[in-house]
Amino acid sequence: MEIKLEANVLSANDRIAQENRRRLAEHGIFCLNLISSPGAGKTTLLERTCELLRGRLRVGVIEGDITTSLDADRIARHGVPAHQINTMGACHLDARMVQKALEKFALAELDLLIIENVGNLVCPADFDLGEDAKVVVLSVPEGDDKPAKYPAIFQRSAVLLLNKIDLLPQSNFDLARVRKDLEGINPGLRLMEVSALHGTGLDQWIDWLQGRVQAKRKG
Amino acid sequence: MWRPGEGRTKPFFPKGMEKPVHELGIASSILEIVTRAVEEKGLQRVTRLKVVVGETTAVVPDALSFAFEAISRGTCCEVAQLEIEERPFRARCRQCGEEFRVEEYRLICPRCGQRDAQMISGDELYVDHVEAE
Repeated sequence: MEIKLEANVLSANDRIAQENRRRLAEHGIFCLNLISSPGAGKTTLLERTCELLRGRLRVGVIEGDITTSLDADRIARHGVPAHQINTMGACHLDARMVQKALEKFALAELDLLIIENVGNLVCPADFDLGEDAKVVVLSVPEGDDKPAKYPAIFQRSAVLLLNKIDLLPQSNFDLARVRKDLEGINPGLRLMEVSALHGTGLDQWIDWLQGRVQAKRKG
Repeated sequence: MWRPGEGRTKPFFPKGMEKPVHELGIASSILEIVTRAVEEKGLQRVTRLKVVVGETTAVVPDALSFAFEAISRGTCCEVAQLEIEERPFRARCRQCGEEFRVEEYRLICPRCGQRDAQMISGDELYVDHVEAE
């Protein structure tokens, strides 16, 4: 007997992601899913972002890592509520992990929730967490071929933060090549050149965040 | 405020699966979907099943077959033949309506050269049908 199913394999995840999205929308919270390979500088970028937004926006951070609470510790030092998810081996966060983590936050007291995904340019692209936008971080030392080699995440993101831009003169990183590759992959992607460590180029990032948070609040 | 040792979120994994690699989690969801469908119909044994995997998903068909074989032992899918159909990444140009196969994720219309195309296939990940007895 043949049984026709046409059942989405990720439907359980997607359903919970929609619940997360609804819950965050009730509180007018703008939510980001921050994705990069390990070592691109996501956490340093978040630390800088928390500093720059202090007194302007109320930020919460969910940290995803295979193990340790090192990242949540770093964020918590900036006086920002942070919750660590340990995936214990899994290569990405899923919507259920985020759903549980949301219970740790006083959502009425947040404007912006940033979810730092497990360092990985591949698997996180498939898993909706309930975010409003994906932001991908690429760092200069990783090389200019990454958008061409890992296109899915660049195609699905709203912003590309090109980090460690201060290392450009010491490298053979070809910024023109990245721009050209991205024109084909995702012409709408906003590219921002930043150095989280030195705090350069972050104004446009902060402006973008504030704009999106305001738009979300108005519904 | 988070403090060390507090409030860890235990990740959700399917029963019996503590450290899934990507495809193992996917295989487990497939097994769940299939088992439920077969039980609903009062059937025992799945002989075939077909899964559709789009090119842009982070699912590797060989790894998925391997994972599915590993986790289906002792279940209704133990002898099931898994067929995986891969769907290519295709898009439709919003300017001229051309439908085209997307090579290397470049959403550039081969007819009019515009970069304004919408994906029409390639992100599928679903169980199409099962054959059971």
